[in-house]
Amino acid sequence: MNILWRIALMLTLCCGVCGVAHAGDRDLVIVASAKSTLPPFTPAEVRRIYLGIPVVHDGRQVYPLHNMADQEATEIFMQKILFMSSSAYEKRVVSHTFRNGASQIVNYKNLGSLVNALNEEVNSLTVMTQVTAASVPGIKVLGGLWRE
Amino acid sequence: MTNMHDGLKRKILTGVLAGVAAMLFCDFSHAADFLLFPDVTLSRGKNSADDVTSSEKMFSGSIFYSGDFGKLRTLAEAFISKEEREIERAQIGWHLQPDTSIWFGRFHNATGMWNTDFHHGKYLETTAERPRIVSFEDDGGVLPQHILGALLQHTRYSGNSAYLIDASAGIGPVLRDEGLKPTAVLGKRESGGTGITLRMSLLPDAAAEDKIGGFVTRTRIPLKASGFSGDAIQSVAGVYANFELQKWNFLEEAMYIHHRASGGASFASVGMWAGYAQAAYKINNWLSPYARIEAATPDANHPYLAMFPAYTRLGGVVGARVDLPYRQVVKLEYQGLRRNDETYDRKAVLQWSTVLP
Repeated sequence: MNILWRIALMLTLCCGVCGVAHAGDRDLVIVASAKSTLPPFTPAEVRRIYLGIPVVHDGRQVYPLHNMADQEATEIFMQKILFMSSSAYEKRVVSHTFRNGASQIVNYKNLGSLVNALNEEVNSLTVMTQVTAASVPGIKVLGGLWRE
Repeated sequence: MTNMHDGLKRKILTGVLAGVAAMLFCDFSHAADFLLFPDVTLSRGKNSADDVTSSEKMFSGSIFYSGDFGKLRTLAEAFISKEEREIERAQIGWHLQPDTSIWFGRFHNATGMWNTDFHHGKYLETTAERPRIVSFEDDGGVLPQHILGALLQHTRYSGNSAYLIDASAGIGPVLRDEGLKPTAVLGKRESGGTGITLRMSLLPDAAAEDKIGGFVTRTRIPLKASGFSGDAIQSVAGVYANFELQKWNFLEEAMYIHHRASGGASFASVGMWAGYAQAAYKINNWLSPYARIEAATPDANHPYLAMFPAYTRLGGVVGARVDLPYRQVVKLEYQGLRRNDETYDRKAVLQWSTVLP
């Protein structure tokens, strides 16, 4: 095989491998404390939990923690799971709180604080990219939520 | 009967205040939400009776707090304006189950949808002002919108849909010369009559805002206005629907309101229909023009209904809502209303509102 063809083939494979890796970077997973016994939830169940509808596991309510540490992951979560813009979601949460009382949905802009909160309440969950979840100790992935 | 109600009110209020105090002293680490709904409303219009154009500037705001203490939940909403400072809601609730709560205190009556979906939050309302049919008592409304008592709320989920039940019993307003006066949480309290309400709603998709429902309510209203004695028994049955159709949002309520004399009052029984239909079109994420028609059939010559001169017989509202960044909203609205006293109100309204933080 001509040397130029070999170089072209290797470059193509490299680009392909890099492309796959970048595509997977944005996959979303559901995450909880490593001590949690929560099951993997479906995207529809996650949507309900984040819209303030009570979901119960083993007799206890499941609490959503809003991961705002990763802006891109937040936007994907809004569009692909909640099917609304961030501003529309904010309005829904305000409206729900105003009608029913405390929202139970706390925003976290810092990843460390988010992980601490997950470990404090084993019935809480959050959503982050698969890459971020793999790099954070003390948590476990309950299941995939969205693939690019 | 009045003494019994005063005693009941004192017990409810004492219980609510004691509960709040106990929770504050027992647990300082609790989940809580503070919300502030400020708004500024500029209006210019005239009434056909005097034909004089007048302008009005009004600053008002609603302060909201809710906190959880284990299975207990507290909730309070205060409304502040130049003319009014009032605790609109003051409730303590107990979560019997995640989908069932019982509340005690002062709450908004489940008379339809508007009263319990938007409360006093102008930011949440599509339009600048409420339909006159569901006006608050101090704005000339005929419905008891505030109740002091107990409220049971239950949600039943079935697949993707949900059923909501609200059942309440408590003390409603009295009729004074200036209109209905609800029982206040603080200060001078009116000795209202007993009111009961039942509302059922269906949400085809529990995670969406679409809903249809119906309600019935019955309230004994002591008549303490000049020239009246005894009570009026008000019975209301109504239906409502809120649904989205692509970029359209439709919100409708219709109800039949019946009044009869009781306890020595002397006026003929009277019934009337009332309702409104509102449509909004979302052109994009920030601009939504809207329109609303309101209609009611009150007998203006009836001695009881004549106590509500500002009540709308027929009205139309057109306007636009502009959603700006940082949760700010500007609404521009024109209203044309034929009142119960056979005069006409025409008014242009410009309103800014937001929610903080």
